[in-house]
Amino acid sequence: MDIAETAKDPYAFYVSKVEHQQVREAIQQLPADFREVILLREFEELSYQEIATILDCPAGTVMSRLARARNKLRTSLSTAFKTSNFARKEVME
Amino acid sequence: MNTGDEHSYNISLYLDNELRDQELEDFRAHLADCADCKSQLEEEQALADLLHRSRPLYRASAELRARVVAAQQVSVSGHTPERLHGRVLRLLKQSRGASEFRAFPWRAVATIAFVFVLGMVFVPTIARHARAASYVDTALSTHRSYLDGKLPLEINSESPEEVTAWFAGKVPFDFRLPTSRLLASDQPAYQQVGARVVNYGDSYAALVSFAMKNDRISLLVASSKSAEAYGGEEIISRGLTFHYQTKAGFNVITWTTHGLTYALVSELHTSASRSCLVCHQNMADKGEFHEP
Repeated sequence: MDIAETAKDPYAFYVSKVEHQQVREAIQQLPADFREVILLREFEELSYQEIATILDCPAGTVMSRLARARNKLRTSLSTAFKTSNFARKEVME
Repeated sequence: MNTGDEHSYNISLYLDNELRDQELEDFRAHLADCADCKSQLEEEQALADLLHRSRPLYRASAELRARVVAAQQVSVSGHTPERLHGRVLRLLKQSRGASEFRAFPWRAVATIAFVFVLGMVFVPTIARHARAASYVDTALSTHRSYLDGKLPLEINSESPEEVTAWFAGKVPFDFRLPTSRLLASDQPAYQQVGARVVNYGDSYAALVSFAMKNDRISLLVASSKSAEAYGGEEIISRGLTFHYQTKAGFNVITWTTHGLTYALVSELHTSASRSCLVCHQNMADKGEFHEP
């Protein structure tokens, strides 16, 4: 669900746009099998069983692909984490 | 699986809401005592939060997702499931093997054309449904947040003119609250309380709050470029189509006019045909809201 947040200032708004872009690029760089499970789980919030049904594979496979996809994302997004945390601190100060 | 692997496994299941009953209780109890797992959970949660913050503005509603999964399950029970691109590839291979079509893959072309036409017919409708459902969900969550005190008003005023002036330059569209046209000697059925700006997707929307006795009514206004009014029971009045639906115990009416999409959320329990009259009962234009 899209939650309406409280209004942000322009700098925080810019930081969040950059962060979104970095995350989407990292997802685009994942192999197709990993990208599918990440989008279905994190964006569409489907359960393992629902994803397994859609992708026609066992729920255990969904889980292992998710774990590997998240590991890859964690590595590629480490820079984004640092940037966004740094930016947030600046915004709060 | 060693103990460390098992805990990592459970952390993923926990974050993905896949643990149930006793498993959930056991894991919570373990988490309370295990600093390593707590730390790993925080890391996983941080990644999940980052991904969630980057979700696209429009997502399929819960109803649409359920329909997609149900359709897939019907397919599973009927025959071996096959993905669309797999089906197209198989048909392409078949057509290449058939001597009568060797010169030109007519069947493949026809299949692709058929899939394309289906896509052209259904995709815009599905996207429209998803946009409309997303706007209704946003209006509902905004209303709930306001009722819970999480979205305090930024201006408190009963004057439509004052609120209109306050919004100038704060939202990326020209928004004017109409002045109510009351019948002589009548009191308004509702009172404007105030307003605030809220984020909607990558832009801003206007939230105006009204009070009617003990009930609160929220009006969310966004540009029609990003918000859609669609679905539900349709009531046509004054040349506008109002979409009336009840969701999560609230009444939601959406409509689009002059490049803006409006969503009115309330707990007023009335039929679609009477819902407009609830507020317009003492106004000069009440005759324009007919009951069937």
